[in-house]
Amino acid sequence: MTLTGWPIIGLAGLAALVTGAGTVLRWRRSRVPLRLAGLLLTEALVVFSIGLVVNRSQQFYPSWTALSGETGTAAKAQDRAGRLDASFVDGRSRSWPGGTVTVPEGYAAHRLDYPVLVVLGGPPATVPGAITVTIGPGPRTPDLRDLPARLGADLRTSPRGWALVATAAMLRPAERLIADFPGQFTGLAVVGTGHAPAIGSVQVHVAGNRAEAITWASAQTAPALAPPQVLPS
Amino acid sequence: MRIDGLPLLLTAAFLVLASAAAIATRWHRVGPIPRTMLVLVSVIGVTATAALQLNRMTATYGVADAVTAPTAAAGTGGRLVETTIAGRASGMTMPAWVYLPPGYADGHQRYPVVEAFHGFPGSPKGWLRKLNAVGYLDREIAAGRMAPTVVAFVYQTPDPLIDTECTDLTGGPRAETYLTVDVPAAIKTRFRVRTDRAAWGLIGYSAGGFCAADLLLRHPDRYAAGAALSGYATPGITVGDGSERTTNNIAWRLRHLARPVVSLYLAYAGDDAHSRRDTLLMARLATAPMSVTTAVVAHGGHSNAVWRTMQPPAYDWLSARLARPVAVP
Repeated sequence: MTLTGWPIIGLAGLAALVTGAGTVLRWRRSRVPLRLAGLLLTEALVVFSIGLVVNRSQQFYPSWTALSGETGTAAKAQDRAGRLDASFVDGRSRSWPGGTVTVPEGYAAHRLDYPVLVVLGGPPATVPGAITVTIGPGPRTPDLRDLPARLGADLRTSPRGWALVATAAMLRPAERLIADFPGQFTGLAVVGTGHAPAIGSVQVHVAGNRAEAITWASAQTAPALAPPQVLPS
Repeated sequence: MRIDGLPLLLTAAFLVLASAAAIATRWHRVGPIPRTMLVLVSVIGVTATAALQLNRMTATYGVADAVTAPTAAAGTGGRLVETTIAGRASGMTMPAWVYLPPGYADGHQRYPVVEAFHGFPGSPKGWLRKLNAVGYLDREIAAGRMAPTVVAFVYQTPDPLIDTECTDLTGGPRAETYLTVDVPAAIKTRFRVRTDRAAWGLIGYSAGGFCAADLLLRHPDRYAAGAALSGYATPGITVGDGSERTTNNIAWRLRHLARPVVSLYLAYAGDDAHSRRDTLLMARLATAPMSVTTAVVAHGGHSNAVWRTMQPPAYDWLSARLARPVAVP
């Protein structure tokens, strides 16, 4: 018998009626304990019936299993691996299409997902707690077009919360990246220009020098985290 | 005696027993007025017992001190502090409980923030007592799956009987203003938190799930990500300005307005028909530039057990989409 079906509601209601009627009709012939039991049972059955009706209409517990607190679901750790993970056991930098990739200290030892700092222009950079990919100057369009997906396949990257550092000359490609991948980047630090365009949800910061730009941009990134618990989608 | 305490529940249950016993023994020895009184007391007793137990289950009414006790051994877990948030903009003044992550007291960092919304009927104590939120937060942070984060458990209504759905009710409580202006202002002033949009997120279950999704869509300049656990696409109330059909209706917003650049986590139980239907509708409409993740719990209906199962994955998901804690400059 289902918890939310009419049969159980009908049965509970009928039981309440019968118990109530029986208690009243046999009142004079009953002793005190029987009267008391009849009264309490009737009250309990009325409350139970109302509860069943409310639960049916609101579907709080659609089944006996749901009522038992059993969800039949356990979250699993979403352990990821990058195709290039093995190449960072000995060194932390390697060439990558269009530029250089540097992983943070402990990348090989800790199974964490790291946010990415995309540095457009200038020498390769290293920051704690984030992967850096340094590109350019003068990147060809193909190098940037599917950058998040390619990087995500090659390394253990965070899904979101990446940041950008760009020299004035590389501002245009940075804007392209932000426009092509909405939500991917949270901040853009520009070095060597007074021009600070606000780009939708992305915070833009004009940095006095490259070191400050990298520090500011890495503070905008997501945290490096252990593989998340995930539910089926 | 606390309204949500066991002593009061047992007192009400005793009233049920006593009135039934009095009816069973005294019925034929008293006149019509005492009889009526006995029946009345009996009905009140039964109703009170059921209502008190229902209140305990939903954690709707109750006194504040009950959740401020330390939840983990000193030094290992986060700390829960109570604070009163006076609404300068909204006029709504309510207590709130703020989870300070491990390391907050002796650290020098500014943390990301999540605002947590309860269901209706309910209160922040639903998160704290029924869903063991502090325990789950401690566990996810300790495991490194979540960055240390400040979580604010807030009231969405000044009156447990008024369902605001986190909107500014015409002629009523201005819950939206309280939650999106007053609460952030208070948290930013009183705690060491990040103030930028990239570090602010929302989470809620049931009606609070609607709140999280609705406020995320309405204030993408203040919040970057939101998680709706068993939420809905519509508020299911009358706001007073008709907005339950338009700007406070998530399906309408997604169909008619420009979608903001935000991340939305939508979790539902497979046997929770209403929430499942609404969640699938929202997931279908929330296309780029929005980013949507769906999560399914096989069964469990619309219950605390479901929200306990959903919590750790939702916290992990949020943390991966909010800016990290940073050292105070």
